[in-house]
Amino acid sequence: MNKNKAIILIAIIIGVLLALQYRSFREIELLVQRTEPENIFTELRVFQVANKQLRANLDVTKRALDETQSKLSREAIDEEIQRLKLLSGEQTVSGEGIEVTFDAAVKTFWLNDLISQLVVTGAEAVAINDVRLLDRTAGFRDIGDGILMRRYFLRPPFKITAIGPRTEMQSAIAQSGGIVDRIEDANPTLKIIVAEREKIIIPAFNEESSQ
Amino acid sequence: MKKQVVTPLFIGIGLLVGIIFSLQFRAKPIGSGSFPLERLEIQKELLTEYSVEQQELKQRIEEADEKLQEARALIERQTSPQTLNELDRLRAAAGFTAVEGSGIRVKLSDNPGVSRRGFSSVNENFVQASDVRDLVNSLFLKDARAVSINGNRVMPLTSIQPVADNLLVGNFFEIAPFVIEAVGDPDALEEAVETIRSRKIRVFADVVDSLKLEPVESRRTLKFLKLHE
Repeated sequence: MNKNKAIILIAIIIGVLLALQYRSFREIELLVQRTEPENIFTELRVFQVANKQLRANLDVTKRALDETQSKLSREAIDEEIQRLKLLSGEQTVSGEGIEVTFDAAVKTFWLNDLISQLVVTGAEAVAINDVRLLDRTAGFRDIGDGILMRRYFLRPPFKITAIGPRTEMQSAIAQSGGIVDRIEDANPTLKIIVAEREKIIIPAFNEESSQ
Repeated sequence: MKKQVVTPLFIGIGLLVGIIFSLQFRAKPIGSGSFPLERLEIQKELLTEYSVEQQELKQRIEEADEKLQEARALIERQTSPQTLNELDRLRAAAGFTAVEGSGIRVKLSDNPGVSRRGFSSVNENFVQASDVRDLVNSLFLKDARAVSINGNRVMPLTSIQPVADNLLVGNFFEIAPFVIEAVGDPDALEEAVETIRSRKIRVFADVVDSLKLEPVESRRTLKFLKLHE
């Protein structure tokens, strides 16, 4: 009788250890899927491009300084207001871009990884199911078969729209071993469709509809 | 007869338990990668070159930015109060204003058992871009009014990418440890930190009574975004 109890106890211990081992492998597998660089030179290229953008920022700042000093004050202020209107989310914006559709929910960190990739490639505005990503709407969480985007509950299918250089964005995310491949590898039943669009429309953010 | 069966069974189970224990607890973290040395050297040289270049660019941008702010301040003095109010309101909506208040400061550092010397393969003991990205996401979800990484304000459209075991936050290269500050309700923000506590990295979080996160104002040219007509 005692022997039977001992065997049951040992079996339970083995089961727990196996489960821990499996979980540990799964965690590492997921981390690798999310973060393993395809090529370290690709990452360094991203750094090189970042410096290139900083050089462009420096040129823009210098030009803005020259213009501010030479223009009529009203003109400079108007330009700044126009630029802020595009970025603030208060107005509907449009432009060429891409549309990425997921037919079902995924772990929301994949959305952040995808959006980060789109931004690196030049996305100037991003929305999920027409909710524009702003500091008032950022923050994702999985809830059942849906996604909570701060205070918006979104249901599948999930449509991520990004305004920016459509060909570059499409190539970056849909390349072999790219973010879309990684998401599909981790979610074999999920269907992801990536499509370039001549015109993407992202509606203005409506504070009241999020309450 | 029964004893002859039970004894080898126990020995077998004992061996299995031993193997599993070894796998689970004795496995050493990968301290460094296995890239060929020659490639590592080239990568290190490039990384140093880009870092030096970036430092110089950052300084020049800061100087030009300061002059621009002075020129704008001059113009704004000649502008009507209504227009200035509109400008301030839009800046706040776009996140281009400083945010002050209580919040938290989180320090993410590598597990002390590993070293970032050289280039590593993916290692769960290093702070990864994905850890920082997940934390920033959780902080926003808990209504953070502003977030920064190593002093760089991050917005929802700020990319956080890995570069040779370090991070590129927006266009800025940052090395570990990573200090993430967030302004908002400290209790809620502390809950956000719990989401990454299960990782094998070190996470320290402190409530801070007074934080001021400076604005970021991207000079990036908007080439594609238009007001919809």
